[in-house]
Amino acid sequence: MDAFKIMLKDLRLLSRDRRALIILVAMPMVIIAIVGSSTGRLRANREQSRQGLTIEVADFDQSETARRLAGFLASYKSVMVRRAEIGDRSDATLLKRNEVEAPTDDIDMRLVIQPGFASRIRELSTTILTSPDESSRHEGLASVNLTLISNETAADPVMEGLARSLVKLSLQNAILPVLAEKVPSFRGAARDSVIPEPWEESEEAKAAPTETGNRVYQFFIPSYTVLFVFFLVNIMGRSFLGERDSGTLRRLRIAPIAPVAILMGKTLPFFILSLVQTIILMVSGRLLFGMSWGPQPWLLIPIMLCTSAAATALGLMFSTLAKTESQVSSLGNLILLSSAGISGCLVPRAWMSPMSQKISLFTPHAWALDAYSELLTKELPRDSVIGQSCGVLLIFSAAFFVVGLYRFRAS
Amino acid sequence: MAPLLEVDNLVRKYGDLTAVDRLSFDVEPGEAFGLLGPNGAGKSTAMMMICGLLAADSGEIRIEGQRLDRSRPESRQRIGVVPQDLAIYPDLTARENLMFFASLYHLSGSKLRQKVDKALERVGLTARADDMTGDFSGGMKRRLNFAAAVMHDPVLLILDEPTVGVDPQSRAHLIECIRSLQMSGTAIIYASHYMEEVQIVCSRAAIIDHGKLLACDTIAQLLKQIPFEVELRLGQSKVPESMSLGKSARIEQDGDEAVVRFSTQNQACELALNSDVTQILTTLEKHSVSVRSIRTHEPNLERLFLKLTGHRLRD
Repeated sequence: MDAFKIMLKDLRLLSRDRRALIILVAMPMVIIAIVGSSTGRLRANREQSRQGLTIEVADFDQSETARRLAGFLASYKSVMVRRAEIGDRSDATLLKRNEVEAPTDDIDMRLVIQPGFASRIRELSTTILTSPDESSRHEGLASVNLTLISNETAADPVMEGLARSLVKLSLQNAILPVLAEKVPSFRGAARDSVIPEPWEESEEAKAAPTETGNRVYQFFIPSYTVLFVFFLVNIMGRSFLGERDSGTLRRLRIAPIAPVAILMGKTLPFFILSLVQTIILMVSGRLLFGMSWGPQPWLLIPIMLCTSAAATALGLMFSTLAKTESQVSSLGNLILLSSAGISGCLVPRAWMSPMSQKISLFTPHAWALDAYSELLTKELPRDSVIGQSCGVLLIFSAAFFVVGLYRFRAS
Repeated sequence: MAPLLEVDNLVRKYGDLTAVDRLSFDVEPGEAFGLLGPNGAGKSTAMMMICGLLAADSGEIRIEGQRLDRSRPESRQRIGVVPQDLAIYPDLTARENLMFFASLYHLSGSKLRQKVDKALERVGLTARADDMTGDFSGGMKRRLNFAAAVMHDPVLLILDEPTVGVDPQSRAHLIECIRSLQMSGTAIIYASHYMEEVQIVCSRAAIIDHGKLLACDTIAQLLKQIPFEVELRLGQSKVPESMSLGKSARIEQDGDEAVVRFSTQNQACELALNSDVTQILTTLEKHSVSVRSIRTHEPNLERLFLKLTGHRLRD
């Protein structure tokens, strides 16, 4: 009850602080719009690559083995295979152009299956065909008449490596019948292997209306929402400092109310503000930027609650540590920017090194982003992933609050 | 009658520094008690312990016979504190400030509104009740600062320099408010460097320095420690050698002037002092020595304070 009274007072004060409200609500919108429109294209390509690799297959061989290769490639959930339109497959100029020209922006890689691919497979010895080591084939994919061309504008070594590996794995499956002819022990595997249909399935998937929204903003809005929710740390620090400097914090402590009620009362308004901020950004994201709320929008509620809880508890802890205005500014910005950078608010975690990705898990931001990513970008979000992220965020909240309470009591 | 507040052997240390050193005193219900001491004497630390803001290293504080327990917030319900620094929200109106602070003391509904209206009236801010306090003058802020501490009718009101930086009108008004509260039965602890205020408001006072209690008594008793002095400045540099002014008087040279000084130990000897003055003036007249001016130095708390705590500057 006492906490509620302090909360109402702080909400009233916050409502009169136009600057803080602008920072918390209007600024994220402006930044999302600016960054989204300026770097959106590149991000869009990268995001698309990261979430679903689009490979165009130019099949100049038209053999069963080539069809099997495209089929196995299409069987990977993250790969979308598109058939390149080839009129006359004996047209050398067309083949050359496919091998040299980069694919269009909406395609990440192009796999060119040259004429004679199947024949070449048959020519190779069993040892070479079964060797997992690329070096034994001397020239890699080229040794079996395959060429892989990447999209220059979205060139990404990681994605290129991934595509190359997927092609090799598909190749291993595609050549099973050939191997079975040469080595009897492979006959079982060749018989059991189901040949996926390369074109129909992929094109159907492409044609199916999916609720994925605008991919640029699927990344930007959660990222910047999390970033700006944690901006509360600064605002809370200033509020606490103001309370301390104006002497009213001492008056609160003299009043017959428990320290925990004071802290709850100081935290709750920012928790509410944070939720309002998140809701505004999510609604604006949907209405203005065409962002999707994912297949289970209700799951946004626990994610928003847990993220706001972690942000406000961090703000509370920070408020009890910072003693001066300059500490609030310098230390606050340091915490915000470094944690935003580490966590993946500014750069997707998938682009980071494995070590950086591990380090990012020490920030609540990363767990919040994981939860948003699972909900907003997956066709079938896993409750367990969202639940785990929310649980970790609550653990962060409790830890920050306990440290804040300890510091408050000790001060 | 049992004391309302009992402070018993209170000790508080900050590292090697003993801020409060075995401090003991009582305050009766409805009594105004002055707490005096130079900067850094330990007054604020003592007051923070009394209002439950700071834990004592040892010793005990009892209010109405009950031990003050910092872990029980409700034990602070009966205490009101007017802090030295203003403690009001500049972005709230005077009424909003008072409503909020009163609600922390579990006042609500019509009773809360009544108390707030009464407090605004008491400190003369009714007309400005709905203005933002950030626009208030220093005196108005002080008055509001005072009002915020008394709405819950505390049995003990602690005032730490409540009149710092206010104009004489606001000061007189605040002192009137304090006396009115005292008359209604509220015990007051009044800490101030304005000794004349303490003398006006309080019936008893304690002087502390370096955390230790130097004196604690009624104001009248304390003033007995200071002599009543009379100073006669003569219109000449020398007096006749044959002139005798008695044992209590001494003649001193101050530049080109001769000065006669004499004193009595306390005001109870007022009759004796009158007699001395008459006798000295008669003697001076008899020797044709004119008196240029007469000054009296009455005993007051400031002189006692300086006598007990010294003239050394404090940080």
